[in-house]
Amino acid sequence: MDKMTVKLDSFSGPMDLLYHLIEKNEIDIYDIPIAELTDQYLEFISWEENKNMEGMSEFIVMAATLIEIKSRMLLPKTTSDEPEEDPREALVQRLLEYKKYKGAVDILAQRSENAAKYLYREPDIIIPKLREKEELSVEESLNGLTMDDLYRAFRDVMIRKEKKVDRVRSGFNSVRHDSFTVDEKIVSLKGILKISPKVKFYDMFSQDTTKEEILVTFLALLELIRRKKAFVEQDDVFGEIVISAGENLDNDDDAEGGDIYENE
Amino acid sequence: MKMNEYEAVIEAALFVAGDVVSLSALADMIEMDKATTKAIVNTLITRYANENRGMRIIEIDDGYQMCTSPACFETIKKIYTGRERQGLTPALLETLAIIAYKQPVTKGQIEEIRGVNSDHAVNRLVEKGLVCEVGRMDTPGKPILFDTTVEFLRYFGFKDTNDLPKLKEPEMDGQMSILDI
Repeated sequence: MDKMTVKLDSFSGPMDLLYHLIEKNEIDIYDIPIAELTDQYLEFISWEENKNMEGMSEFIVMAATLIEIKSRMLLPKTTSDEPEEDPREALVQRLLEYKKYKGAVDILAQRSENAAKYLYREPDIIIPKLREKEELSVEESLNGLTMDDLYRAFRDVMIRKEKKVDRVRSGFNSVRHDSFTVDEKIVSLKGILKISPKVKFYDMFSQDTTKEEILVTFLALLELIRRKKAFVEQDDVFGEIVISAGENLDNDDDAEGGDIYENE
Repeated sequence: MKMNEYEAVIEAALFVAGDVVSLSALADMIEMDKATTKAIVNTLITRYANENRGMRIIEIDDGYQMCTSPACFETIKKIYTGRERQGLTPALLETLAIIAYKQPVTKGQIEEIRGVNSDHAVNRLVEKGLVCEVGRMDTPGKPILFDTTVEFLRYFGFKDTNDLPKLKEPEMDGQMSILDI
């Protein structure tokens, strides 16, 4: 089994494996016995014990392609006069293309063996004049350019820039810094309760108060209730909330003084 | 300057450069046109070969470079401690072959042929200096295009990419059997 595991690794990819099977069985590439080839291919894959997704997924894609071709070959042919496309056609084209480059690999391998016998010095003195290749000089590349051309090019760039609107990001607003903190609101709520022991919740806000401020104040109120520094009454659902000072209101250093909201 | 003086100057320039020197740079140097310069270098090349010298001049990438004679390789290997040439793995060779024959080519096109992710192979080839980025294709995503380098030409002993042997196009005689089915 171990031997076989090594075997799949030695192929550079699914095309390589397929090509190997075709060469080994001396299959006519134009008339592939697809059922037989698929079986052999699947057998090769099943030997692979370490089925990690990364290495295997491409082999599995090819397996799926083979099975698809095989199943399409089994479908009865339509009776229409139109010549049907062979399901194997696309695969054959890919194999031929692959075969072409396999040939190139052999050529390159041969050439490199021979070329390795030529040794070169590392360039140690840089002679810019000798290294330079023919390049257009500034004058040459600007030849025939008029002020008008430059203006038009500039205008095009500017138009392109203006048109470039990021549809997703242009809808984004900036993220605002929190303008209210629960800590601050606790302090100010306490202040209000000290002055008037009974306050209606909405009376604490002016007309232009933001939703954020109301929310933060509400959180501060909940915190005060938890610490028994304030009590609330509400007669009806959605009715007016009346806040009254609790007995602990003045007691700043009670047991829960170390709470995160406490920073007086 | 006499003819052999020109030869001498070019020989000296190639020796000291230790790299590819373009034909146009050589022509500029001796203040001659390119055709004449080429003829002079060619005489030099033939002279080196005929006299079985230890040096050779090879034509590469529209220029010339000095190197050692392959006949000397086995012997000087004993003292040569230059960088050892590490072979290319089959996956790298396969990828390189596709780039060489299809250049400029994108990673996607390579993967289409190989049927396998080629990120690693292409990156290794770039690291080895055998291929390089040459621009981007004007299609969605603007994929990077790859070409082979001068180092590639040297590594495989080609003059330029036109010097690559023609690949056998698949014979089309079997085509009928597909349609027969």
